[in-house]
Amino acid sequence: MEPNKLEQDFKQKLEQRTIQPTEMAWDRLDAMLSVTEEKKKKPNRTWMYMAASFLALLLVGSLFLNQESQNAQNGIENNNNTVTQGKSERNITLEHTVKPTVITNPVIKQQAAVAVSTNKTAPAKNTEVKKEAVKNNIEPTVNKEALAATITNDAVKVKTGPAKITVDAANLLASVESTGVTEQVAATGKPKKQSVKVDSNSLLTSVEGELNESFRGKVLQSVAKNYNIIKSSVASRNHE
Amino acid sequence: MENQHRSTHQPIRTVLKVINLHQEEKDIIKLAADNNRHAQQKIYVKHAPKMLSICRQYIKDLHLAEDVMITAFMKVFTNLKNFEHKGSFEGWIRRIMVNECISYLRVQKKVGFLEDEYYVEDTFNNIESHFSVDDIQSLIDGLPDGYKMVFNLYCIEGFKHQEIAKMLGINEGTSKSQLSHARKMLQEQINKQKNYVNGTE
Repeated sequence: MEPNKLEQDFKQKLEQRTIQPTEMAWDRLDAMLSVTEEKKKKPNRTWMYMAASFLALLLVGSLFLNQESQNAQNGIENNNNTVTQGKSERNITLEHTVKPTVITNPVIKQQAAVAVSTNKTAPAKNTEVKKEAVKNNIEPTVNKEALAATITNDAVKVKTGPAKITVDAANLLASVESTGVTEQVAATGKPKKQSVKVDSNSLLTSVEGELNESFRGKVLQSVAKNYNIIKSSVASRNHE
Repeated sequence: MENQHRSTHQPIRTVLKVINLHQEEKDIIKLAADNNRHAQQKIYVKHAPKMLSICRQYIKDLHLAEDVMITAFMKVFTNLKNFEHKGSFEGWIRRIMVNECISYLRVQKKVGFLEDEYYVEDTFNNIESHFSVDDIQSLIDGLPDGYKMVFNLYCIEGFKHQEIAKMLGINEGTSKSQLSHARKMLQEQINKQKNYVNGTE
């Protein structure tokens, strides 16, 4: 199966042959080469742009996230501060409101003790208290209510007073029991005042807690939303 | 004396010239690989006529052959960075041209090969041919594309059947049988021409 003489002759003659291509051929090749060069260059550039934009996005995203988290932290701190301030203010006001009643209590007690004789002085003190209270706009009504409450309490006390005394007299002999009873009395006497105080405090605190929770929730939700948006956008950028 | 002197220096000069040429070719290839259009044109101008001749062996239509040559040159320039200067540069280009012609015939013209294993160890008449290149080309053009490919690859390019089988994705036996058929056909054509010439005489 070796190539024979004829085929060797074919080969020789074909090897020596040259066919000059048309002049158009080089122009076409030139055009094709420039097209592929442009194609080659463009993808590289676009890749670079993609990488650069991705890096920029990452930077901006990370900065945003940092800022967002910082803002969120600051916001929470500020809220806490304001809330604590509010608390303290309210506590102060509460104390203010409570104090007058405490102050008035002796007055009323005195009234009860001295009977109606010092009625004239008591109103004056009350007016003083009122004047003090006038500084805080809402307090007068509260004071009045508190006064009324204290008065009723005093009345109850006055009513229960004799019973106490009787019980005390009966139990004075047994001194050990008396402490328990006084404790009981203290337990029975105090709760009404305490209940009033605890109610307001607990209400306020609960409301404040709710406010806090809602605010925190809002802030956290917004943070989470923003984070998710950035996350998804970054992810989609990656996919693109 | 002068003649002797000249003759002793002649080989050295030619060697130097060859080295220079080789270096020049290397430089041009390097430039062309970096998309230097002038260097690319130099390579094209140097090799295109030979390569078009090779493409013409496989493809009868000269315009189509030129198209195939241009796409093959595109491949040459895009793969120029991969050329390792191991073999000859012309041989490397030539291989690309032949592959492009084969893929053109196989894909564009959908040339298939009948997977028959028939071939004969024919003793081709060792006739001294007096054919011109055009005669040879017309003889080859007369062959079906499948036969033509195998004949060109075996007889002109000097590939072995194993290599041809790999290049065309066929069995070695098929390559042999294709060559056998091609030879038979060529012989018949030559005999016809002879008879025609004899008849006219």
